[in-house]
Order: sequence, then C-alpha cells, then structure tokens
Amino acid sequence: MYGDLADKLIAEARRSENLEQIPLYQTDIVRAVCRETRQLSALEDQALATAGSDRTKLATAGVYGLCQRRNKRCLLAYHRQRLLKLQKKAWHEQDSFETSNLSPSEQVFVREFNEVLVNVKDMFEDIDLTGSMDPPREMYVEVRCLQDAGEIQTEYGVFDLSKNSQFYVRQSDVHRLVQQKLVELVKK
Amino acid sequence: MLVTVNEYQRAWNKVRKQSLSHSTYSVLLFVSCLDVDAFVSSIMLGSLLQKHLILYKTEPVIGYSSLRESFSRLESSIKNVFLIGCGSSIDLEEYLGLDESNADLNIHVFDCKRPWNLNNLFGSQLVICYEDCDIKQFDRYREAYDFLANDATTDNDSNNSDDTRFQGSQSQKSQEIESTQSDRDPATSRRKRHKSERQTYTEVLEAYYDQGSHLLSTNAIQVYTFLAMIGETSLRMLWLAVVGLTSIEGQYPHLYNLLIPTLQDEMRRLNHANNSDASSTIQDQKIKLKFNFNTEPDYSLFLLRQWCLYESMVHSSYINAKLFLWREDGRKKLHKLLARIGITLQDAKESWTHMKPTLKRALKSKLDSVSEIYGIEGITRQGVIRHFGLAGVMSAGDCVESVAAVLETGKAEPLLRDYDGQESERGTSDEEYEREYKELTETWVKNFWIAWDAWDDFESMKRGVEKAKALQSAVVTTANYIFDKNLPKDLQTFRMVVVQDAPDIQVFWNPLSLQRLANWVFEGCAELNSTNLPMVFAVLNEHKHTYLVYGIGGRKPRDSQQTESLSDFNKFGSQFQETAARINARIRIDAFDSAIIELSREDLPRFLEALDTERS
Repeated sequence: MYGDLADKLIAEARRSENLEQIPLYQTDIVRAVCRETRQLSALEDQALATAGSDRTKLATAGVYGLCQRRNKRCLLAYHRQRLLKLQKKAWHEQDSFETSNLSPSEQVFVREFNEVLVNVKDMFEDIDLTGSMDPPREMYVEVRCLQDAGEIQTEYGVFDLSKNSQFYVRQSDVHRLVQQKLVELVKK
Repeated sequence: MLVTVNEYQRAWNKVRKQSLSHSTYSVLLFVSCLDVDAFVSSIMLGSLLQKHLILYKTEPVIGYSSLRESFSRLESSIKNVFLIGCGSSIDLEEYLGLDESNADLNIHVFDCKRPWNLNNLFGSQLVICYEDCDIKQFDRYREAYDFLANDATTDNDSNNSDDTRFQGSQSQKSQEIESTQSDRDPATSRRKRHKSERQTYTEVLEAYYDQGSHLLSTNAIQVYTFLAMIGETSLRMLWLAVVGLTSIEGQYPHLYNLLIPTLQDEMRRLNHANNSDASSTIQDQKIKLKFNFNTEPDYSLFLLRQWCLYESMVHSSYINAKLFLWREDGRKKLHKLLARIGITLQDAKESWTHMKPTLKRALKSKLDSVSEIYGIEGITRQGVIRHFGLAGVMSAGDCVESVAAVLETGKAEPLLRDYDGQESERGTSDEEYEREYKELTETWVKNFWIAWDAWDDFESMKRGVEKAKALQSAVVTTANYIFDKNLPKDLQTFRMVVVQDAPDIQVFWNPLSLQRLANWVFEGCAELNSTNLPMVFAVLNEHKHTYLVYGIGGRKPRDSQQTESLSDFNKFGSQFQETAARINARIRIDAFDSAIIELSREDLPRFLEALDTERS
C-alpha cells in the first residue's frame, strides 16, 4: 500500500523519541519512500494526461497527489525530529557524541552547527553557554567509576580512573566525566 | 609507628593539614572487601573526610595481591593512604615496595588483627599503626625489636659475622665452639653476654608471633575511638560502630560481650544529649528520628524481626547447637519447648510482624522460664534495635546479616553463579585460574558497592535480608548433611571437616559464606564433644579443582563464664603457611585473614597429615 513505508519512518521517529542515542539513519527506507513518491508523481501525470473530463480518473490523480504530499510530510517529520535531537546533543555534549549513526548530510550539519556554536560561545567568553542549566547542589560530589579509563588530567591534578573505585571530589572536576559516562553520581 | 589513643588527635590534624592542598584528591582508602566490619569502618571514615571537605578515593581490595596492584598505581598527589581491615600482619614497607621517593607518604593502618608485624609498629616512620588497646604490653617487644635491629646493623657494618636477626637458634652450635676457645678475653665475654641477650630477645619476638592471630577489638570500634578522640561522634557513626561490632559476634562472642557495654554507654550519652538539648535544631531531630536505636531485650535467634519465631529458631546456630536440631529428636525437643511455653506451631510460624502482641511481649519471660531446662540460658540477651519509623524494625544483627548477604551474593536473584555447562569449555591452565579468579573478585567488588548503596535504606536492607534467609537455609541444609554423614573427624590436634559433595556446595566457594558454614558446624561440634579442638574446614570447588580451607582456632563455648584470656587465638595462619612450604603444596594465600587459603585438590590429604604432625 502506498504510504506504508513512510509510516515506518514515523514509527521509528516515535520510538527513538525518548532514547538517549540517535538510532541509525534509515537510508534504505528514506530512499524507498522517495522512489515511491516519484512513481506516484509519474502515475499522477499519467492519470491527468488521460483523464479529460472523466471524474473518476481525476479523483485518482488527486489521491496520488495526496499520497505524495503525505510522504513528503513524513520525510520532513522524520528528519526534523533527528535534527532537533542533534541540536540538543550539540549543546549539551559537544565533542563527545557518536556520529557513526548519522547520514553524511547530517554529519555535515553537526559539524557546521558546532562551528556556529563555537562562534556564539566566543562572543560570551565568561559564560559557559553549553553547561548544565541546573545549579549544583553541592560543591563536592561522590562519583563511582564505571570503567578503567586510566589517568585523566583535571584542573588541579590527575585522576586515576580505575574501575569500581569511588571518589569524593569537586563537582567541577568530574562534570565532564559524568557527561562522558565514565563515572556515575552516587545517589544519596 | 605506633599511635596510641592520646595521639589520635595529632595524627588527624596532620592528615587535615596535608589535605588542604589544591590537588584533585590526596587521601586514599583501601577497604578489605567481604568484611562487614571493614565495610562499616570505611563508611565512617569516609563520612568524616566528607565532613571536613577532604577529597578522597575509596577502593575495595580483595586480598594482598590486589592491594599491591592498586598501590602500584598510586598517584603522586596522594599523601595519606588508609588501610581498613588489612595490612597489620605484613611488613607494609617491604611488601608495597616503599623507598625514599615515598618519604612524604603516610600509611594509616586501621586493622585489629593481631599480632602486628613489628616492622610496621617500630621499624617504619611511614606506616602509622593505630592501637587502642593496652600499649604497655608493647614495651618489651619494642625493647627487643630495637635491640635486634641495632644489632643487625652493627653486625653488618663490622664484620658480617652472622645475620641472625630473627632466626637466632640457627647459630647455636657455632656459639658453643667459640665460647670454649677463648674464655678469658674480656671482649669475648662481652660478646658472649651480648649473644645471650640476643637469644632472649629473639625468643621474646618469636613468642609474640607464635601466639596466633586474634582480635583485640574491631575495626569499627577502633575508628569510633578515633572519632571520639577528635570529637566527631554522632548517632550515625555510633550505629555503624554497633553494626561493626555485632558482625564479629558469631566468631568472637567473648569479645562482643566485652566491648558492647562501652557502646551502650555511648548510646545513653548521645541519646541523652540530644533529648535534653532544648535548642536542638530541626536537623538534629531529623537525624535523631533517622537513627533511632536503643538497647532492648533481644534473642540469639536468626533474623527474628524479619522472619517468624519458628524459622528463626531453626536457623539460629545457637539453638541448633544446643538442641542438636540436625537430629530427629532435636526437632522434637524444639517442638516440645514451644509447647512448654504455650506457643502453638501455628503461632510460631506466623511472621513476626503479625504475631500476637501478647505473645511477643511475653516471649522473653516465657523463654527465660524454660531456658534452664534446655540449657539455653544465653537465648535472651541485650541487643541493639533500630527503628526505621513506620517502615519497620531491625536489630544490629539483622543489619549485619543483610550487609553480609549482599557482600556475598550481590544483586543477582539466584544465590548461585551459574557454573553448569561451562565446565567443558574451560581449561585448567593457570591462566584460566587467574582469569576466573579475577572475574570472581570483580563481582565481589561490585557487591561491595551494592551494599554501599543499600546500607542506609530500609527497603534495600530488606532485600538483603531475604538473601540472608536463603543463604542461611543453605547453611542449614549443608550442615545437616555434614552431621548426617558424620563428616567431622577428630585428628590428634584438630578436628577436620572435608566437604566434597553436598547440597548447595557452590554457595560456599566464597570466604564469607565458608566462615558462616564453618562456624555453624564448629558450634555444633563443640556442643557434641566436650573436648574443645580447633577445626580445619575444607570445601571442594570441583570446578577449579581446589579446596577452600578455613581454620578456626579453639575457643570457649558461647556461654562459658571464664574471662581470663580476652581473646581466642588462632594459630592456623602461620601453620598453614609453614606446612604448605614444607610439603611443597600449591596454595594461594591472598585473603587478609591468613587462616583462609586455597589449596589444590591433590595436596589436601598430604597437607592435613603434615599439619597434624606440625601441630603435635
């Protein structure tokens, strides 16, 4: 049925809405939807050419048209949802997120978006625009290391991140490590 | 360096001063894993550091090798290292490879296992040993140690005659020859006197090491004393100290009875201080509500408040040993006892929370009325009970069981790790052993953190309690099997139990669980025979082809009144090592408790035989 493929994209977008990661870009489906749309367009042209004043044929052509529009909307929705997620990620975890799941043009987007972001940040040197919006509750926090990551340099010294050890350290020192998921905050 | 109670304050000030620098963190805590006492102690010390905004890192360690490995990765910014529940018995400076480059490092040892390695105590300036017991006893050891240490250096400097620092006896013969040769020479007579002095001093030290490992206190008490000396006690710390002390109750009942009154005094003091102070803030009252515990009548029953009367009687090592529950008539005796105090089986099997209040209230007097007939006078005693608001009640003992169960088994639903099906794939090479051992230790460390997250939360503790029940049931089944098959055998100098195959045997491939089972069987045996022999308990790990062996020193039964010696000595630690070295057996000694070793399967019979001759 026409429109089934586009439906898949929407389902995919809905599924990934609450995911942390951005799922793999569905190149095949996107391509198939485009192809289907082109076919529909050809069919519509054909129907219009032979229709004359046959109202059934005109109606058929109309339905073809609607199907194309629907496909287009679905494609746009799918991409928009991904882009919004990308933007959000770019703000909050800049350098650290995985780009292998993205399509080539998305990767270009991320790169350029980051450039823009850096430019904006340069204008406000004193403010960490990409930092967390929640004020820290404590100056020091307890964190637990999740994997062996060796030595990590911080503002005041060196961390030896060995798996299954626990630290009581400055929040500012480990802020980045928490984002990178090397350590987790210990709930009190 | 020996630090006594009066010097705690100074030691702490030094730590604080050194931690003011702007490094990421400068304090490191190494905690003995699989040890409830060390576990609570580390929480206490950690809270203290947090309160003073000292940044630190906590790392649980399984045994000596993992301690050394972690230590080798020490950052240069670290100034103070705390060893909790480990380190007293080895020469730390040598084992950890400290040299001049570590001159500004301090190693603080909170470990109550005795004897000390005297090199830590007198020989090193870096190692700071906290000792809260009577320190006069150390004077003679210090004298002997200093003499021999000086002696060794002068000997080496002058003519390298004989380096008999700690094995004085070996050169006795040559001594005799020398003395006959030149008797009149004043220099030789001085040397002769010197030699005899050396002899006596060496004997003093040998006697110190030979007395066997024992406890004089618990880590938690040591840390609590430390806190008391620097004025940082609180209800939270006190509760942890109580839990730490209770954790050794099963193994060292005498020590428990000796030390608990001090903590009870503390309880009165802190509770009173909080009550009378009219200006106490809301914060204080919150803490008071959170850590609401007191001394109340308690029973030597297993998890009574979380289970039902009948089950906790059946799962109590005390009742089990006294009534011989593993026998048919033992069970009958228990039923009779219940009938005598007028509690129907149905009532007894009702969960404690839903048991009739009248029965609950009368339980103490009822048990007291029949305890003499059954010889279970020790069933009622004082215990420390904590109230978690409306959520429930937990005794310090329940708390210990819960934490211990989590340390042993972690979060996993089934008690056992799944070993089936992997057996064929796994080789038996040394590499495989190492890998497997590493895997196992990693789960233990993981369990440590699960316990860390759980200890203060009633719901999480409750999950631990369920685990403890399952574990204890396994102990009962296995112990009953052991008694049924009559596995305990008396040798000349000790009693041995070798378990090759039993229901749930896999549960006991872990030091903590093994101790649980061994103590249970030990208590039963002690009641069965009046001769009070020490016990060697070995459990076969078929998967690894090794035995996990645990030695329990002889000790007095729980309710004996003698108190002339404060503690129970366990000589198995050094004897295990010597025997294994003598017969060239393949063993692994890694646990901080030296009386737990891993022994390859083929070597066990030879080992036990040699051990018996060694001891006699």
